[in-house]
Formats: sequence, C-alpha cells, structure tokens
Amino acid sequence: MTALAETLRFTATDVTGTHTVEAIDVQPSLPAGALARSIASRIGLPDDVPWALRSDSTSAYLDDDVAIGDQIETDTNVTIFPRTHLGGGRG
Amino acid sequence: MPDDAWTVRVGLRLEKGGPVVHREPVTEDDLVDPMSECWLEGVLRKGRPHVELEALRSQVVPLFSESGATCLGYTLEVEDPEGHTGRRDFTIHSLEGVAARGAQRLIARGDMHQGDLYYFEMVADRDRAASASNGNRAAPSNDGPPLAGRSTTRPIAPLEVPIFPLLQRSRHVGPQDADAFKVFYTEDALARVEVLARKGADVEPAVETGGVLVGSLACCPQSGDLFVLVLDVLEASGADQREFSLYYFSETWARIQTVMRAMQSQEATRTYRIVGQTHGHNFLPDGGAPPCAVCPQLPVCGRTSVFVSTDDVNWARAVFRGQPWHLSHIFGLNARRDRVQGLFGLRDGRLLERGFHVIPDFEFLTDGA
Repeated sequence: MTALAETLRFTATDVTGTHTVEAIDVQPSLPAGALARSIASRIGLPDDVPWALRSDSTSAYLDDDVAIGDQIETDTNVTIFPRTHLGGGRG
Repeated sequence: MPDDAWTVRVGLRLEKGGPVVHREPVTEDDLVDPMSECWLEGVLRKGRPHVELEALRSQVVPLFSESGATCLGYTLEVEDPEGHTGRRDFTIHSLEGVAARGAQRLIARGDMHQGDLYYFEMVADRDRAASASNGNRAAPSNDGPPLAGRSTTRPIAPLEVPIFPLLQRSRHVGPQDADAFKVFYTEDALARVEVLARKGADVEPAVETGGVLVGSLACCPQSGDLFVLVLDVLEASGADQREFSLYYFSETWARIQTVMRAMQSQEATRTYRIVGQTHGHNFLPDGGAPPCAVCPQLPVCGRTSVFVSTDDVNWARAVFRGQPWHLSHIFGLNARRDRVQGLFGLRDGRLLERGFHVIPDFEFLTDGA
C-alpha cells in the first residue's frame, strides 16, 4: 500500500522543449487548469492564450477542473501546450 | 541604464486629428517579441550565443520627431552581464497588437463598432517611480496559484558552421534583405515542407495542413553571425484540419515530441530543434474572385492567400516565446491560381515576409568524424 504524497513534484516543459519548470511542493488538490496558468506565467508564456497540460508518461490530456493529484503521480513529466490554432480564417 | 524609465502607451483616436479617446498601456509582455529580436540582433548575432535572454537588462527609449511633438517609435537598449550593449529601433507598427487591444476595449464599452477605422500613436512619459530596467512592467494578470521550483531554458548551443561556403553554393528565394539573419533550407527539406503544406489542397473542400520546421541554429566561427538551418519537417499528424484553420491536438504534439527526443538522442541530429512552422492556406484569395482587370499586364499577381493571419501570429507568440529565430512558412495561391509561398520571420517586433537561401544539401561532420 502506497502512502499518498502530501505534495507533488513534477517537471513541465513547453512544446518546443525550450523552457522547463521543475515544480516542487505542489498541493495535489490544485486543479490542473490553474496549474497550467501558473506554469505558463513562470516560464514567460503569454497569459492571453489558454493553456493545457498533458502527462508525458500516459499521453493523457489533464482535465482542467480535476485536481492534479488525481491525474498524475509525483515525479511525472508533463507538457504544457497552447489551445490555439493556426490558419487563414482571420486576416 | 538610468533610474528613470520611460512608460509607453498607445493613444487611440477615432478621427484623424481628433481627440485621444483611450490610452492603452504597453506592458512588458507586449515587448517580449521586440526584446527577443533585440537579443538576436544585438547579442546572439554578435558572437555571444552563450548570453541568455533572461540575463539582459533593458530599457525603452522613445524616438521623437525633430519637433519633439510626435513619437515615431522606440529604441530598445540592452546590456548583458559582461557589460556589452546592444540596441535596435522599432516603429510604432510593432505596437499594432497593443492598439488592437485598446480598440477591443473601446468596442466593449460601446465607444466604437467592430470594423470601424481608428488611428493610433505612441505616447511616452518619464516615470521616475518605475523600475530602472523597464517602466512597462505589468502587474501579473495570471490567476494561477504560486509555483515553487526552478525554471530553466535550453541553451542555444549552435553548431559551428562557416557561413560563406553555404552562401556561395546557395540560391536565394524571396525578398532580399542583407541585414536579416540568414536562413538556409536544404532542397530536400524545402520540397518536403511544400508537399506537407499543400497536402490539404488535394481534398474537396481543401483544408489546411502543415507541420513543424526542424533544424539547427548555427554560428559562423569567422563572423560570429548566428543563422538557421532548416533540415527537416515533421507533419502535424492527427491535427484538426479545416478549410481556414489547423489545430494541433495534444496527441499531435506528443508525436512531434517523441520524434524530436529521438533525434536529439542521436549524435548526428543532437542539435535539432523546432525552428518554425509551415502550413498551407489552400484557398483562393478573396473567396475565389477572378483576377483584376489589369492582371494580364502585371508581371506578378499580388492578390494571394499567403499572409500571416492574426491566428498565425497568436500561435507563434505562444509556441515560440523567446525564440526570435522562429519562422512561419505559408504556402497558398494567387488570384491566377498560381502556387505562391512566403517565409515570415520576426522583424520590427512583427512577423514580416523575408527571404531565404536554398542549398543542395547539408552534412555536418561531428567532432572526431
């Protein structure tokens, strides 16, 4: 039986692999969406873009509204990616 | 760097010569692209690729007209930890995004309608209370919880490649600009980039398709100049492809990252990184309207679907933050239905069309090879 970690530790990287945050002492009860915004802010990504997290080990996309501790284990790597699209729709 | 910084705002008028109806602050975030461009041009291309963007101190200095009545733009001045300085001038057009944000506020409060014309100008004031390094530091608007831990940025680590032999055996494509940082595609990479971008033109109705440009940064040991090599392209597979948009799902990014990690684990491709994106605007300009009456007399049809859209700009801002060498290669059609293309890179804090060089091949011999 594994004891539940009181806090989480994880590494978040942007999609180009340029910026990385080694986050420590993260409360497992925090929603993944709020953490995505914190990570974006920490590595200087624009705050007017919606961000999401994905677990690199399971490739699962993390639900914004669900606690991070219910979706990843400690020492997991996650990717932060933008929810925005390319295209010629708007000149 | 002086103790009193300039605070910059963008003033909006609804009529030419009319009163300023709104002043939109220019934030530190608004200056990220100009700042990283200044880093590229004033530091990295001066033979100092080891200096990180975050290590620079900077300040904004307005550029006034001779009468002092009009602000024509601004200079960004940077200083690295070794005391080297650099500077770069920017026009007020680099603040178009700030003006657009101000216009949205006017629309939201009913003072303007969507599509109305407006005029904007730069307004600069001395602010002795502001930070010495930047008077435009914005209060964080992020509402996420505080995050403890360490953040790092991947070092530039360019290949050492003499640039002149590459130039000698290259052909040039697109607009000429002797001052712009050089971009080299191999013939093979360029051909594959175009095939990917135009893939969506083969279905009915046509959709947008594309991928990420992969290559290396390189530094010339003789001149110290930094340049970009585009050597490969990875398809945005499984993406949401539509007539006027292309969305990379989480799985799309996962596949790209898996391949990138595999490349970076091999000696021959260890310096590979994502250096840009490509996609096809696989539609005719102006909804397919026929060429204009004078078109047969013109050597080139200027009405094309090759442009960087607002969505393309926002995507690049999000994905390539702090990577001023990033490229957007757009393929499309002109009104004559000819195939046309344009490469866009950061200049004047904006994505503007630029030229590039094509080389037959590129083989980098690693140490001891």
